[in-house]
Amino acid sequence: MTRSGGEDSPHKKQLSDEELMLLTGQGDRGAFDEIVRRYSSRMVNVAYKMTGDRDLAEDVAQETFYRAYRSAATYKQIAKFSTWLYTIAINLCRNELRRRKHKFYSLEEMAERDEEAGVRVNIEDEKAKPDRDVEQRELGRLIMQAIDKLPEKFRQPLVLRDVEGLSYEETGEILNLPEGTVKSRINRARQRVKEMIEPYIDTSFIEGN
Amino acid sequence: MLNCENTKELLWAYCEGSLDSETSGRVKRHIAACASCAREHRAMAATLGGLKNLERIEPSDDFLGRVWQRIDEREAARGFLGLGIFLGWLRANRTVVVAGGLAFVMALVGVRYGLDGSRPPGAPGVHVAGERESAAPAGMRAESDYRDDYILRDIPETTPVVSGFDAGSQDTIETRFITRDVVPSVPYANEYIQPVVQPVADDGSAF
Repeated sequence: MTRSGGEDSPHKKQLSDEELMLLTGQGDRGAFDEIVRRYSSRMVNVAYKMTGDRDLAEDVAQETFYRAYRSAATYKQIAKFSTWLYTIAINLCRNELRRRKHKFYSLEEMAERDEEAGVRVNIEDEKAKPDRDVEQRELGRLIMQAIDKLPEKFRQPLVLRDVEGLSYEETGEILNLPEGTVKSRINRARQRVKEMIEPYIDTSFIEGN
Repeated sequence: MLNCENTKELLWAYCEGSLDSETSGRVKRHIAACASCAREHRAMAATLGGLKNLERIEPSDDFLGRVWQRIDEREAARGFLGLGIFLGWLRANRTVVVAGGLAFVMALVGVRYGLDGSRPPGAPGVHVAGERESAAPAGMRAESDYRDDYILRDIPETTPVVSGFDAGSQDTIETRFITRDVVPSVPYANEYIQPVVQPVADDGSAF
């Protein structure tokens, strides 16, 4: 049994997203459990990269699944399921950020808060790692700061394409933009991130990549 | 051979591996021979690598349970929400609701009497009184109804359509005339029926 009370049958892992949504619409809560398992990490992470707030990211991800569940009975496959789900999440992020604009913390502040809360690996742990890992973490921190400084219209396609690994086509569908516009915005966003992190990157580190 | 400007335009795509093999080869040869573009390439590759390998966070342990909790709470609330919204709307728009109700009733009455051309009970009388009545041309009479207060109508020819006779006990025959062009509707039929009493002979024939 699952937490939802539905049957946790192994065959559900073999079903496509669309088949699971069809079953969910027929009242099979176990099918929706499988949907949540497949996408919870991706939804939480895309929301985290977009908002920089871990709590908000969890909230957005849960709301995304609630919206998907509510639409299950009338769900029709007009786009790839994951694309549709990302679209819900991105729109919720956009709305939440606008609503909380006056309360919004920068990613750097959020990172500090997360570290204090033990969400991230603490300094002692980092010291125990090889230098290479520390460098990677430092690079990650710099990139998060750079993403935080990007305007929303550049941050969204960059996160979807370069962080989440979606195709240009999917990114365009999610953001409702032509592929050419998506490519152009992504390249400009990459260039800005590169310019922002370049001064902090050790030449030898770059050489090593 | 590509120059530096051309190469830099292609570098992001080169780092992604999305160039065709021929173009990719030309970029590769340029980078091998140009220190500036090589450095640019390494910075771009580090940026893309850093983006791709950003630390990922894990959903909380009870994420699935919290999703279901949200679903169950919201679905339960939605059941009450519809009724609540409707009652709240009624409360906030009392004046509009009352005015709308009256307008609806009036519209129903209008449709009822407008469709069959009849008059509602208590509506103004048919005949126009006084000088205006006498001003009607010969063969016509002045009328009014709830739509217009002065209507000229032809005085219809009449024809007997009913003849009742009871030879056993009555010495008169009652003949009723009914307007030819009007089918009397039940509430107002009497206005168009004019009893005429004629004397009859002992054998029952009319004089």
